[in-house]
Amino acid sequence: MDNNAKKYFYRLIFVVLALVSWEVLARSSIFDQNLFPAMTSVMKRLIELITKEGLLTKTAYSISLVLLSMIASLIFSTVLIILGRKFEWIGTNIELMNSVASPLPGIAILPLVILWLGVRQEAMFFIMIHATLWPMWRQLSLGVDRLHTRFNRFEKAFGLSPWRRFYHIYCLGITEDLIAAMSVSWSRGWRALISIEMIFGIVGTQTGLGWMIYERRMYMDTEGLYAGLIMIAFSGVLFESLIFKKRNLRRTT
Amino acid sequence: MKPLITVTGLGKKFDDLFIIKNFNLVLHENEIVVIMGRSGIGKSTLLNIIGKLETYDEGDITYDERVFKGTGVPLPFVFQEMDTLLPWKTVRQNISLVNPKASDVFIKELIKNVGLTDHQSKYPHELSGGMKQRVGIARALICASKVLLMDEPFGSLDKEMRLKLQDFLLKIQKEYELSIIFVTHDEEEAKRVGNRILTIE
Repeated sequence: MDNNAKKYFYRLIFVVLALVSWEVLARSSIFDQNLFPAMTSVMKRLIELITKEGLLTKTAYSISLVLLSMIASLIFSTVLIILGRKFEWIGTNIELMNSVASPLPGIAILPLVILWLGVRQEAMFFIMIHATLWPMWRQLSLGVDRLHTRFNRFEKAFGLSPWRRFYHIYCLGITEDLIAAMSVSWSRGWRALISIEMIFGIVGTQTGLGWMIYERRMYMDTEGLYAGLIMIAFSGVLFESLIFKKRNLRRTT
Repeated sequence: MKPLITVTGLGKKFDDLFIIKNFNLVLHENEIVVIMGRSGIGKSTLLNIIGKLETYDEGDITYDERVFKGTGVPLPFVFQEMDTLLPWKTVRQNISLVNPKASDVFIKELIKNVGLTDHQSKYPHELSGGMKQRVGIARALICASKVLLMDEPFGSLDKEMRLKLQDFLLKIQKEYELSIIFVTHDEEEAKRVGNRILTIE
């Protein structure tokens, strides 16, 4: 068995053991069934939520919000990096803004954003961009620095035009950093979104996963709450470790 | 022979102190001038100045009867570092990138002349050190410049490969009637490839 297969095998054993222990513990009635339902009932409820109550639509809605904010952050990051490299004073100030804004969790600026923009989709989007922009900018900026150090003499010696430099060196060369940036940005955005959704509730016509688990608590639907949490964790892991996983891009090394 | 590049009284300051002072050089058509000296003496800085990668404070550089003040002449370089090839581009793409106007026929001929026809679709990580340097040379040749600047191009290769590439360079130089400023710290290499040797002390 190779190392990767071993890793997955150990994980599988751990998950099976955890599920069995959960089931045994829940059926032993040590805890109240309303607080700690059996895993089989959680799974039944999960299937019910998917088939009858549009859990997949809610998940897709939440995912689409994160992805949209990531696309916006990617565009903003590119503009900030270009401006920062063109004008030194802008670059220095972006650095400063990053050190001030990056440690601020999206939820911390929520009261201020609500005051300014109200409980609207725009406010949610603003917080999402705040959550995804800074890690994205930091990682891409490091990538651009790395490429600049490596290819600076080549660019100058062969007099490449700004467009050829931008596309052939920076756009094509940044793939690995872009995947890393997307991965960090995704995890920050996903966490921020779930917290914001729980506070914002219904904005517009759609609701996401955060509001769904909050709603389940209000109806004392504990199985539904656990099912929602499983969906949140599953979507997070799916994107982080499968879609934005740092791949071994041999051609870019 | 007609002088192509003339460097007169060149000086470069670093923190108000001259690190290069009164440097003179003439490069004629179809000749290889080797700049030799121990490591860290400023050979690469000189080449960078001539190739416009760094500025200078005194003197002038004349190229093809045009005088350049303060900055050098943009000329194709062959670097010692092999990691200046773009890893996400194939051999052919790396060569054609620097001159989008180059015709397919010229690119094909160039790749054939540097002996990389069978490897043109490979990526740099699939090539040996010697092959990478030949791609570097082809990349400089595609600019169709009369002058090439070479900064210890074979410095990181083993002796056998270095000898092969020195012969290859002499062949290419004759074929394309090139004038080359070649920097090295290896006396044997300097004598083998150079028509004239300038030693910096």
